[in-house]
Amino acid sequence: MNGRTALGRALLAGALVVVGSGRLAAQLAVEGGPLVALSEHRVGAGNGVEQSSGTLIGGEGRLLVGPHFELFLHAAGGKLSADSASADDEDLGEVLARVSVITVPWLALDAGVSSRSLTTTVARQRWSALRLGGELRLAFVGGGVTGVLRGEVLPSVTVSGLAKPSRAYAAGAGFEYQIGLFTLGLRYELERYDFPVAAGVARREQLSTITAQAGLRLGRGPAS
Amino acid sequence: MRRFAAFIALLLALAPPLAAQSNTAEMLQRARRLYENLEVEQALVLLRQIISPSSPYVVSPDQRVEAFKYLGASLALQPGPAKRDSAVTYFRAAIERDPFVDLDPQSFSAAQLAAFADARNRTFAVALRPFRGDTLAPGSGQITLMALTTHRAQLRVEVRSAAAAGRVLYDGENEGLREVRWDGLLADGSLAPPGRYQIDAIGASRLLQLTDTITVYADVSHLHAPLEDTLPPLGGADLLPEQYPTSVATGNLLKGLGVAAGALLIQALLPSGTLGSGNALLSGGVAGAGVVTGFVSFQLRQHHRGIPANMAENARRRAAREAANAAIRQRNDEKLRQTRLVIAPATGGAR
Repeated sequence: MNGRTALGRALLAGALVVVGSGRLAAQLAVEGGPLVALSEHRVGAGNGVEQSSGTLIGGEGRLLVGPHFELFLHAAGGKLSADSASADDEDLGEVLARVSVITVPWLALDAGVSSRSLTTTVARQRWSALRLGGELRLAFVGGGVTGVLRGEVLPSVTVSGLAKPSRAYAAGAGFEYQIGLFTLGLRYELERYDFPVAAGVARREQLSTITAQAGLRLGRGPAS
Repeated sequence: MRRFAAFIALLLALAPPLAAQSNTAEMLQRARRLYENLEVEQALVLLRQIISPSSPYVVSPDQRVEAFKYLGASLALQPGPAKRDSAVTYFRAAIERDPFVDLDPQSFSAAQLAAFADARNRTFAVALRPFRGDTLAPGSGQITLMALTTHRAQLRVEVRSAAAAGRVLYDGENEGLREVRWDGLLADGSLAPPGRYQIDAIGASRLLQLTDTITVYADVSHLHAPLEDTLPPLGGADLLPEQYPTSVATGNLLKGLGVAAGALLIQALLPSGTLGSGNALLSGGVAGAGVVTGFVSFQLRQHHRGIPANMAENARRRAAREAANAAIRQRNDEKLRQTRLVIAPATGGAR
């Protein structure tokens, strides 16, 4: 009798999983693809401005769950070459994950974490940050183009070998184009980190990037 | 108790005319009995009392016609041309009052029938007997009208109404009674629409320079299951806009320029002063894309204002409405095909 009950429960649970997953699948969309970015890193630590720049390559993906939730993943890496005499060449690698809640079609509120490593010939510096922000999404009529303006505060940043920045924030602007299954993105982002004064020096760091991304979108239609 | 008193009062009020009519009927019956017993003179006295203007009793039109008829028949039995002329005169009086009056050949003599025929030839009248109402299935039933000319005449019977084309039911020579039938259809074969119709019988005597016309009225109504209303035309609230308003193009331009300005502002304002402003090449790329996107979108919306998705949806809604209305019309047509015509006699003129 107990065996039968257990079997019935198992079958019911299985049916619910199948039905539930079918419904969930109908609400899902995935988009993603490779990216190429041009980054410029500036550091001001009392010795003038150290500047390096280079090309990053990587990929991005986005999982859209229903009309209100998104998960964004980003990974890129590349070599930044020194543009100033005081700067060193450095390898940059970064990952970012962000969850967004789309409150109304034109506004998403998000929270995320990011990790970045900057490696020179003599040292490796690790950055990690908690990111809170919002994104204004300006849909052009027809839905094929969306203009994006975003801003973020980074309330908690840790940098190996350095004190925590006293202030860190980021902003960006860009476009997302959708043509059938294909998506194209172009955005400009700037991150600024202000470190507390140490030994009479106020350290500043800034990373600005223009990113071009192409991809495919699979699943339900574009979010309205 | 009060009701019983009212009933008695009503009986008392009605009693004199009822009694008067029954007296006339009684006199007529006595006159007919005297006539049948060949007591013609006594019959004539009674009959003349009935038609006399000074008769104390109420005489109905039918009773008067009957009296004239028996006066004629009684005088036709008496010898002499003067009596015969009087007989013809009384017969004519009867015919004028009721053109359908007739003598039964089994009950009257040849001389009486001849005098009656003479009276008919000298009197011209056209008559239509009130018909019995009926309910007809189109194409199968008919109502029968009895038309009459007192002697040989050209007769035309037609039905018409103010709203519909009429139909000639008979047009030809006639003498005496004629059955005329109407199946409820008009001259073009269509079902007579509901309304009041007049049926005219128009006669032109072939013996006398006289014409006569008689009209009866009929009410026609249609009997069918209630019809469904078709869906009303789609109004503005039922359809999606098929074109973007002109402000949308401007809005697109502003959005493009706004994102471009945003990129430039971020590059110009966000960096620390010690590091200098950001790389304008990087922000300029997005700003340029914003300007191009804004202007291209503006141009596209200016020249292609249609909204294909809404047009398709509206076309679908219109098609759905048309389909629904077609189905309703089909159901209504089916109900109308099973329409039954109710034709009832009516009094009075056209409504």
